[in-house]
Parts: sequence; C-alpha cells; structure tokens
Amino acid sequence: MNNMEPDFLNQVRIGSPEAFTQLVDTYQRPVFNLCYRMLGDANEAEDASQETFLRVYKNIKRYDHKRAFSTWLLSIAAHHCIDQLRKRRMIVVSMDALPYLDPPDLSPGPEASFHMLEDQKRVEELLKFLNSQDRAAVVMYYWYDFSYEEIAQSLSITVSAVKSRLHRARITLAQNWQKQGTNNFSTERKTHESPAF
Amino acid sequence: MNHQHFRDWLLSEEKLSADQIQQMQEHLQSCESCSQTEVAWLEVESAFRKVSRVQPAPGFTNRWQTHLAEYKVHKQKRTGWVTIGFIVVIIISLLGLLITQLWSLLQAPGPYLAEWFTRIFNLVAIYLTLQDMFRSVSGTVPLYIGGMFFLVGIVSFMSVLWLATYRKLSLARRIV
Repeated sequence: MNNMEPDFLNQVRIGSPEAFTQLVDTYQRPVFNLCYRMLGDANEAEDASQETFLRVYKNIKRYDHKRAFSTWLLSIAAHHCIDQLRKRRMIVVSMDALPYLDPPDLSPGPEASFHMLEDQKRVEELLKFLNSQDRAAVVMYYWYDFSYEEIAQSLSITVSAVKSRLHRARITLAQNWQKQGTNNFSTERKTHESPAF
Repeated sequence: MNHQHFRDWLLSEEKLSADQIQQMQEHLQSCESCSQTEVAWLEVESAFRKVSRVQPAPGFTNRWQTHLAEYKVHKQKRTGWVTIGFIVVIIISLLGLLITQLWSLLQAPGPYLAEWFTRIFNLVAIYLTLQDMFRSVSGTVPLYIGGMFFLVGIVSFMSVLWLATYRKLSLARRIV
C-alpha cells in the first residue's frame, strides 16, 4: 500500500476538501477490505469504512507524521471493527450482502469463479472462529503484510503478544480448516447418496 | 521432545535449524495428527493467498461526501443548541440571582446593605494581604500588579484545567 506524500497530508490536515476526497478515493479499498475481513458482512463493512474515514477527518490533526499513514488509518479501522464485534458478540452474516470482488487477472470460467466464491466463503467462515483481536492481527499480517511491530502499534499491544496471538490463531485456523474439510466431505457424500437412504 | 513442541515449530514463523528440520521430518512421518495439522495450515495459507481483495460498491466516495455533509450539519446544529442552552442557563441563573437579591433588599434593606459592605471590605482585605505577600517577593514591581497577577493566574489556570479536561473527555476513544 503506497503511503501519502507529506505535502498532500499537510493539505488534508489544513482541511482541504479536495485532498480529503482524494484520500478517501485512495484508501477506500484497503479500509473496506479490512472491515469486511473483520466483520464478514458487506453492509457493516461499508458503515465501518465510512465511520473510519469520519474518525480520520475528525482526528487528522492528531496524526503523527513519524508513523506510516496507512498504519494509522488501518489501526483506526481495526479498533472500530473490534468495538463493533464486541457490541454484537454473535456474528450473523447475510449471504445476500456479498461484496464486490476484485476483477481477476485472468478471465476465469464459471467453474473457476465458483471455486473462488467457495474459497471466499470458506475463509470468511474460518475467520469467524477467531476472537476480534486475533482476527485483526491475522488480517493485518496476511492481507496487508504488516510487520509484528506495526501490528503491535496498531492494536496497542506488545510484539510478543502479537506473536502469541498469531500462533494461537494459526492453531485455531488449522483445526477448524480440518473440521470444515471433514464436514464438507460428509455433506458431499450425503448429497450424492440415494434419497432413499 | 513432546508432541506440542513439534506443533509449535510447525506453526511458528521462526527459522528452524537443520537439526530441528531433521527432527521435525522424522516426527511428521510417525505422527498423523501433526502431519494433518501441517497440511491444514498450508491449505489455509494457500486459501488466504487465493481469495481476492474485496472492494466497496461503486460510489463510495460520493456516499462519503454525503455522510460528511450530514455530519457537518449535525455538528452545526449541535453547536447551535449547546450555545443556546448555555446562554439560557446563564440568563436563568442571573435572573434567579437578581430576584433573590432584590427580594432580600426589599425585605430588609438595612442588614442587606451592611452585609454587602462587609463582603466588599473582605475582598479589599484579601487583595491587600496578597499585595503584602508580593512586597516581600519583589520590591521593584508595583504592589497592585503582583496581586493582580496572582488572581488572574489562578483564574487562568482553572480555566485551562477545565478546558483540557473537557477536551480529553470529549475526544474519540482509541485514536492512537
């Protein structure tokens, strides 16, 4: 993710509406993607992304130039999503509210698209097994290539806590992936069995 | 070495030595649970890489601009109401004070005026005491300036403290 130039950020800080609109244009996808991975619902991700940019607008003067802007921005988004997850506790995902997917590099056939959607759903289901902080750490690490230090700074935890959260998350993910595989396999067999049985 | 240790190695990002890799491979050949965990984790990583990034529905920036405009209108309204409320509270307080003072004056004019005279006298006494205190600190500064500075300083400090507390409490949480 490219970082903003200091001159441009200064314009944002002094309240230039054009500069802020450009900022939203530039960062809408990473912010939305993070919110979607965290919340698992496109409508909620949209609301969370809008709220993130509003918080950035209100607090832009508090941004520390020594930090990467993207880290600061995504940490606001992650904290907001963690708060949302704590509020609702129970995650209910509407399958009607699927987001727009990135256009793939190659034009896949219907089968490839189907598999892509299946993978998408499976990853969404998998992430739900993690608690909000672990999920944020996983999303930042695997989708945004954040370093341990950046994750620690974003989530206001120590580097060793990040490592242990990621380790715990990997165990949970691997175990649930195995379970999902077993369930899918048994479901597939059942669907192909004779209705008489 | 126990089973848990190998699983930690499997899921760790730390680089293993040649000897550790050798031990791990030997363990994986004999332990079905660990080899399944390894396969599952590799598949999870592969799935993470495969799923594409999602993007918002078209028109996100326009919706943001609408959202921002609504926020500004809401903020303006709230500021207006807060200002009006503040002024109303001040006016009601002043009116209440005025009415009670007038009531006291009409009920018993003599004791009321005497009470006020005592209050003013006490204030002058405090002011003169402050001047005496500052006289010992500096002989060059005019006496009345020292007392004034002290009073204004206390009032300013209290105002700044109040403003800082208000700002701290009203700011959004966890913008780090």
